[in-house]
Amino acid sequence: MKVSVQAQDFDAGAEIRALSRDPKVGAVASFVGVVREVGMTLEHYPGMTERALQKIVEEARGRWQVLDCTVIHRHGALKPTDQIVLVVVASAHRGEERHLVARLDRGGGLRHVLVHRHADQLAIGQRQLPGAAAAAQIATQRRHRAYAGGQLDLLACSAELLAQRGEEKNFHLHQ
Amino acid sequence: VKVKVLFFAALREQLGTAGEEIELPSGVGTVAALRGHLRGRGGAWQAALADGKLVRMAVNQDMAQPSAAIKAGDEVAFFPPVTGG
Repeated sequence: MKVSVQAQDFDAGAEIRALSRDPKVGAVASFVGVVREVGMTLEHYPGMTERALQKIVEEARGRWQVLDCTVIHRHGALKPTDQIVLVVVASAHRGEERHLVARLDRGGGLRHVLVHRHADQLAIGQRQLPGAAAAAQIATQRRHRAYAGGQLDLLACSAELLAQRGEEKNFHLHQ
Repeated sequence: VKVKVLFFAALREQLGTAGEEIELPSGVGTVAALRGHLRGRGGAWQAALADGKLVRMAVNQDMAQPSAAIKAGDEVAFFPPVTGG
């Protein structure tokens, strides 16, 4: 399990290959977040950010069969088209890893500790979240519903983030 | 009772400081009370930490409610709400 908060760019291919080497691995899913439309500067609270990410990873490991995972989040000045976040999850079985990818990106913990310093353009204000507190609440509610057997919730999360909606639906049915 | 206080992002810029060690006056035992104490410095402090302002707080690197207790040696961080895209 690797969690890194760093200024430098990452090589998604290399990270995916690194998690594919274990012969027990049957599937590797990845998610790359990219800066869209306007640049931004992210600063973080060293220590707290890593702990928050670690917590999400631990929680996911408790719920799904995850063999290994890598989470990299960049900070500093980022411009449109820059990679900003990478989540790679390796699992023995296809399907498991997709949920974790969605959860990690959705996780309130991550958003709590990333502080938006200034927008290069005003447009970013329009994409403002309802506030970290609200985001945390949403994350909590999502978690509770998931525990109650609300696979639909997970499905929605995943489908929103990952392009292959059809596969998500199939996975849901198989469960 | 001494605690370490940290400010991030826009708050740091408004206050002109990334943080400091402060001696808590007696009666200041929660995050909300600490915020009120800092606000009492007036000027930029009053403006940046005003009641209506959304400010997130963490105690020892865990998100904390305003009612959370603070004790000697704690690290209390203040930062503005987060944006995301």
